[in-house]
Amino acid sequence: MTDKPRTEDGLQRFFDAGRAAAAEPGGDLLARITAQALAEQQQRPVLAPEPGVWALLMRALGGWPAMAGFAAAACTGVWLGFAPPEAVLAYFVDENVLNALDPISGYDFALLEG
Amino acid sequence: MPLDAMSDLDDEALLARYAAGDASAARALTLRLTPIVLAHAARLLGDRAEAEDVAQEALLRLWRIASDWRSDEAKVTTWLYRVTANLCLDRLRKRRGVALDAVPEQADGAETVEAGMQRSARAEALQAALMQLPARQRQAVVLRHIEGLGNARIAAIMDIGPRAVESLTARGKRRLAAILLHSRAELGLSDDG
Repeated sequence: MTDKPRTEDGLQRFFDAGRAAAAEPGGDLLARITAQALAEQQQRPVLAPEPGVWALLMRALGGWPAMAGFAAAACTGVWLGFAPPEAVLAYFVDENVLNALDPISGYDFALLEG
Repeated sequence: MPLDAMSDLDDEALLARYAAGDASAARALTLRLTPIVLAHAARLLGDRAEAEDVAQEALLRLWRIASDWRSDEAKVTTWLYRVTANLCLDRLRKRRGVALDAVPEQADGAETVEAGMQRSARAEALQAALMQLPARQRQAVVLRHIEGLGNARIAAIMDIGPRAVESLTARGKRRLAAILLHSRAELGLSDDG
């Protein structure tokens, strides 16, 4: 292309002129856009950082106080399983004893209904 | 934070402050971004009034997604250039009712206009010539040669590959050169590309 450098120079002057003549916003437009930005800001609640999966789980279970009680109960259960007191062991030795523990039988309900 | 102190913050940091409810961030962003968006829309549309409507709409969309903005994604201006162009292209589609890659008709016998022009006249002539380009060529040429963006950013804005960007800008420039620097009669005689 024989004319390429002249073409490039020629166009460059147009591009420079175009850049210098950029449309500039007037006060009215800026005021409208600012008002819209502020209005949108007030409509939306300020968002706290998104909670992670564990934080959501904690919330569902009742937070730290509930988790503390849960942890204590879990530890107690594990402890009983490893080293059960004598009284607890007795209930698990003879299955007939389990039946005697049942305070209300189906037979009693039938009598109640009369 | 006072408005002038916000000039140290980049667009993404300002947007985060905006999302957190900072009213001065709203003002700072408006002052910073409106000129960019308005100028770009005006170049794509060739109409100041429509460009103002587009600028307002593009920034409204930014305010609305501010809370969801992820700072590791695109730059705010990349996103804004894309939204602005899409809004402009929608208007152009409705205006003309033709495909956006169609070439608008040119008058025959256009004379050389380059010689003896003042800068403002050159700017007007450039805008008139830009309006004779297919919309996507116009967008690519404006982003490259007026906004001064690199091919990678233009590719991200236009959602095309870098080669396609080069092709669009090259074709756009050839067309502008033909309109602004050469008469059609000369083109007919020395048609070397």
